Amino acid sequence: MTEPRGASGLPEPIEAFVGPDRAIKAVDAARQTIETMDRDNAWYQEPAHVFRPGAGS
Amino acid sequence: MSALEWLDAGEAARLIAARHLSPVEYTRALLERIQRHDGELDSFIELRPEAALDAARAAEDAVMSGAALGPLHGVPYALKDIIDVAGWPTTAHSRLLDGAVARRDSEVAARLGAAGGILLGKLATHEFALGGPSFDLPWPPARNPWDRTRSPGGSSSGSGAAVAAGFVPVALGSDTGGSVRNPASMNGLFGMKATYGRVSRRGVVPLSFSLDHVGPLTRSVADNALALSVIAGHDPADPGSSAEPVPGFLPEQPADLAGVRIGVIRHFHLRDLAADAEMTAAFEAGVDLLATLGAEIREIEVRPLAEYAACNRVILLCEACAVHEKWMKERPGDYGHLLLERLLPGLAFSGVDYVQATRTRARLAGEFNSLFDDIDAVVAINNMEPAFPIEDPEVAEYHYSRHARTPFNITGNPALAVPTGFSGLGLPLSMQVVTRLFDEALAYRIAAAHEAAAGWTARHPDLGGTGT
Repeated sequence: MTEPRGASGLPEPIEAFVGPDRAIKAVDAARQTIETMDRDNAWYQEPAHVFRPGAGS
Repeated sequence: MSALEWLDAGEAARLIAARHLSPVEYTRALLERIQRHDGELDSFIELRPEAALDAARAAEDAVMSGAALGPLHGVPYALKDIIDVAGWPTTAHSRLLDGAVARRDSEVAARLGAAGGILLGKLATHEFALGGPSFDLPWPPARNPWDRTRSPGGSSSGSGAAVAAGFVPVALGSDTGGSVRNPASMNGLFGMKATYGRVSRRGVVPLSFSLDHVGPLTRSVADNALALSVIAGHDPADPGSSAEPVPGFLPEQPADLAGVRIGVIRHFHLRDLAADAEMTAAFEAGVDLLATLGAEIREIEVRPLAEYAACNRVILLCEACAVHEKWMKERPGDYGHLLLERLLPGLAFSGVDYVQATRTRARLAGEFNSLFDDIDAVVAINNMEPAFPIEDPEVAEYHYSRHARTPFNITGNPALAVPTGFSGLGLPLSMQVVTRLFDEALAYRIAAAHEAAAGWTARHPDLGGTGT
């Protein structure tokens, strides 16, 4: 189940704290970043770091 | 002998080993300088003079008893306050970590201690290595010793200020989107972001697991190579740590650069962003000097800065929000305004965005590293402008993304900040030297040749007053 989201799309408790203006500004900033990133990856392109069994705890 | 405050770490270690310099006198001189001047720079969050002097006395006893000495024996250093030292608070310059005391040393602190270094204190940082400069935190932001009205850069702000001010010859910072190379640039220092995985991050407060690097800031190339040689090496407790062998990083003598093929990226500061005229002129002078030293210079092009920056931002903020999510929901009022502002977009990215960014990263890194089929190193500008006024938040925000550092956090290559002179206002200027993965030695060779020929690092900020 997903956590409750505010009108901006940010998690509700955080949006309640920062207010709708800051929340919308943050969502707009994220959108602009995503629009700038080249995500035209080939279907077989692996992530930069993949799961390595045994790594970490 | 140089004045003690401007002594190189390597030279100090040699003098101490030869019994020409007392670690106690050296440590006391630097402590007195800090106590005299840091009230105007705020580079230290915590200073422990008695512990440092006790360690210096023990170091002196070891010298006099003929014990085997490490490469930094008796040499003072300081750490960005996101790096754990057993028994010391690690604040990350945030009220969120108020009262947190480290139970064991980080790997880098352990290595510096084993090398004989004398820890003087913990240094200011932008909050959690991301939000700053901020004036709403429990400690003030560090200021630039070249001009106290200006920022020393960040996020390793105290590290840059303390080394430039002659408080310590070596400090460690961290670099996730450029946070070693930025204060190095603004303070006239050498700052190394080594290959991802070269230096352990165990015991260092994370910002972004797959982009975080720990690295040294110093006033000389030799000291930087020395510090990296101490902290580099495999650490099985850091999942990102590399098992690549650690070579000697610095040639015996600064050599010429005959046969070294250097690719110059100009579109970062001429087309993608517009650098100011003095920074551009200093960059071109630096490139000309490398050519004079024998390097073969050729212009190269890579992806636009904005593509690297966007990829870096998605990965960095998603990973940072994974670290901070619980606090952001439960204690948002304990964050400084600026850090919360910078973290918030990370909560708006989707899981798909994050995975696409990590796939894009692999592609960008592959493309960039294929350049090294035809060249040996890359030079690019560092900041677009010199240090900016610290008190104006709009000015600070404007400068926040005006740099060319994120490409090398994305690709993981070594990237060394190298001073290129001073602006008309006397503010330091800088470029970056970037090399193949795990070839930090070549970056140091190029920087050492440039350093010896340019002579920029003989100049120091005037803090006022007399003596040390």
